[in-house]
Amino acid sequence: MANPPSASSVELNTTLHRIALVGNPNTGKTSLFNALTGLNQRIGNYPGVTVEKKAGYFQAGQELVEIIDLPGTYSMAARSLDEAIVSNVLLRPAEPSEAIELIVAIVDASNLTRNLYLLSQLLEMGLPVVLVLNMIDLASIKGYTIYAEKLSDRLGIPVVPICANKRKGIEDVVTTIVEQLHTRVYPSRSLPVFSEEIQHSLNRLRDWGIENDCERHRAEWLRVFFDEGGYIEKQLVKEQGPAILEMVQKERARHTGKSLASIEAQTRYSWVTQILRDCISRPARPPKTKSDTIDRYLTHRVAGTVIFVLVMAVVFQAIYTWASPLMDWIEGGIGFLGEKTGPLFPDGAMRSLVMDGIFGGVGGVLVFLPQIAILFFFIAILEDCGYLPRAAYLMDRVLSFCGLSGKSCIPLLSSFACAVPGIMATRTIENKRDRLVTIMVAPLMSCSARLPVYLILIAAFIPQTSLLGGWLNLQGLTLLGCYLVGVLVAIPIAWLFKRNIAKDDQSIFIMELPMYKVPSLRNAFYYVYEQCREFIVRAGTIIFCVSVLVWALAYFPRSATIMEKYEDQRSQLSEAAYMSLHPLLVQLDSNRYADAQGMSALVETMVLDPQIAPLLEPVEDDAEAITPPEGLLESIQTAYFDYEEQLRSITNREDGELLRTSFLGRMGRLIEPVVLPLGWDWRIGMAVIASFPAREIVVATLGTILNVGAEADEESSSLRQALLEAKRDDGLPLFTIPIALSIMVFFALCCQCAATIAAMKRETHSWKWPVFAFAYMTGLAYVCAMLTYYVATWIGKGMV
Amino acid sequence: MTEHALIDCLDGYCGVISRVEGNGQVTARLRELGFIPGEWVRVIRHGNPAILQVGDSRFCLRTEQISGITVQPHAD
Repeated sequence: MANPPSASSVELNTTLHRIALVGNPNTGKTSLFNALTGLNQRIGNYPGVTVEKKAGYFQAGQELVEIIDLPGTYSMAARSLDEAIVSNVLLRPAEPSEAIELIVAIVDASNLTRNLYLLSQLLEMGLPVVLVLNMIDLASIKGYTIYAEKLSDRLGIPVVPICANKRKGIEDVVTTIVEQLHTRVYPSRSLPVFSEEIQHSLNRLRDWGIENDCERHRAEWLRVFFDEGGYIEKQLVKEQGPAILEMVQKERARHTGKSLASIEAQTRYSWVTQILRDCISRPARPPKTKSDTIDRYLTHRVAGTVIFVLVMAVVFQAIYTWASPLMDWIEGGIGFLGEKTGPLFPDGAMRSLVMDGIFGGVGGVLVFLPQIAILFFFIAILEDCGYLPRAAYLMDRVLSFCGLSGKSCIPLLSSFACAVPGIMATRTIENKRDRLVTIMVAPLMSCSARLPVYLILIAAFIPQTSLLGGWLNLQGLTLLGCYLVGVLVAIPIAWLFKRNIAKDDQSIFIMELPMYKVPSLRNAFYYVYEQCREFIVRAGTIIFCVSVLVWALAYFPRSATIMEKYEDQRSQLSEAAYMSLHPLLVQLDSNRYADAQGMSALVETMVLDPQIAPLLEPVEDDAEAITPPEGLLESIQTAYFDYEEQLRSITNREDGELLRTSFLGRMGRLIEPVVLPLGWDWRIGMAVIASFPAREIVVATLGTILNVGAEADEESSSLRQALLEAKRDDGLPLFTIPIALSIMVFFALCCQCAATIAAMKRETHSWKWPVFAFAYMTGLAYVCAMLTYYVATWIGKGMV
Repeated sequence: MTEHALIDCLDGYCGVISRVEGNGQVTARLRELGFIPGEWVRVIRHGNPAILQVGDSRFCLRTEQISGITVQPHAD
């Protein structure tokens, strides 16, 4: 087999059948797909376009079936790229081997009339069709009774009633598919009949096609004829030249009076009415349902908005706080593995590569998983129960100000936690243009990774002045400002992009509000699993490579002279420490310490001494205070701690100097003229380059540059102190309030995040958009940071 | 029989579509979705966007999309 799903489950004598799953949105298509294929799913792409191709496999007896889950569509009249894909897959396979053998048409049994519209078009494709009546339970709640056998008889195709959510009837679907693959009954009994004039037009088009080497299926001619300016027409013109358009327009011109689209809709709907006569018994007018009652509250302007805020608060709380212990575990676990694995390699570049480069890179990828999983779990649940479109309805008014629709709301809000799941969540936006604009502005929302950068700079430079009698304080206000900057900039940017990018997409914003139903945990699980796997496979590789690259830039060339210099300092320190510690220890216990030669031997002995060992543990602020040692013991402890601290400081200085002389440091010096207008010196510029894989790295990098050590975080007071005391080469302070503000604004607006770039690449399937996003955001960040610097400096001068 | 523009109807209005005017892509899509003369329509939320029930489906639509739809109250 060329392409088996899992080699063990496939026998050699099976044949691969390719079938397609087609249906309206919200018909439970995904539930059926999951029930049929389990985790045997592949996500790929249709060649050349940004539409996702989902395929899965299942085995039924001797048959191996590949089922393609086509995008949900209301009609074969392609008005969006997604819909064009549906007709392309069904009507014109790229290669004969990709031809579809059978269509599984899934319809919502509680909404048969509208769903059968699409079926009427599917029946014209010249392929065997299996009709699946899903949500048969919802139909009976509404008081509808459907006579499936009668319907099957009238349509001339098999009809299978199922309940995909509850996994009822799945077996019947499989059996019917296999049966159909063998018998191949082509639907012909009942097709919509167009007026004679239209039939003639279609025949003339067909004949013209045969004469002009453009033989197409009748279903395709139907689309070309009826859809003025539609995708299929454009496609055909592109392939065959304008002659075909002339011919089609001539035929269309014969039917003046009523619009063609309206003729088609009338014809098909009267066919549907005819088909459904005595196949369904239902109340004369659609009954009021529980969904109506729920909608009274959930779409209410006040009550609905309050509920929306509460729901978002829970989602936000979850991504923000529930994820953080998981993220800590992942980081801790990866760090632990790195520390255990590192020593297996010789000290030097290999060990650093493994510990900092590889494990650091893997950690940088995996750390996003909790947030992605939690957000997508909520999205799956909210979407499945039908709430998402209601939320979009409520937010539509607000977002239409900047040209977006309510559907952008959840992706944008999620981006406040992290832009990566936010960008991935734009998949719920069908309109390609809205989706692209949302992806482009999502990283402007201040994500949680910016928080450490804001916090350290605010703690160091912004005074804790109380305002309005203690209700507000300046530090808090500055933090709020950091968050607002992104939002305020995003509004005009979104508006501008909406008018200027991706103008060719004409898809229409029509949002269906399906009936409420109990969400399925199983589907949520599949969804989360799929998203996480996709993220690791597609975005993970990019994030990983960037992390390793930046590690290498910061590690090499590692000058031997510098390392020797610090090695000398270290041995001098050891000698001095030995000289002061040894006599004290001999005084304490001459037997034990008399023979210890050199500092390392001394420490080894000390660690084994039950009397001394507890004193060597670093004192933690909140740890139970050990009885303060007195006299001799105290002197020993002080001397030892003093030695340790000096040793650390040498290492920190060495790391700092190595980083400053690394390739990264050289790049920092190279770009110094560029960052000078922002008030930065080359060290800040370098920290910004180093933070390309992820913004929060800037804190650790600043720690290393300022010789505090890479463990520095936003709460470390030594880093705060170092920031305040750092001097430029010319002796001026490295950081001032205007400089700190300019850094904060830069980080609020820049796109310093490899994961975001990777997610954009993954979602747009091209490098064009991530590169564009990086360029525009960096430009914007630069200009705004410069403005901030000058305005703040000017205000500062005014105040002095 | 009094006809109204659908966009003028308030919450709870229930009637039957009498005309669907327009030749654009949006109107064509609305027809495919079941906005055809004779079909039931109920206003769940008026305004922009509005929520409409047509037949068994419920949609959220913007004013400019439904401005060509005329309705009349049902006889009963």
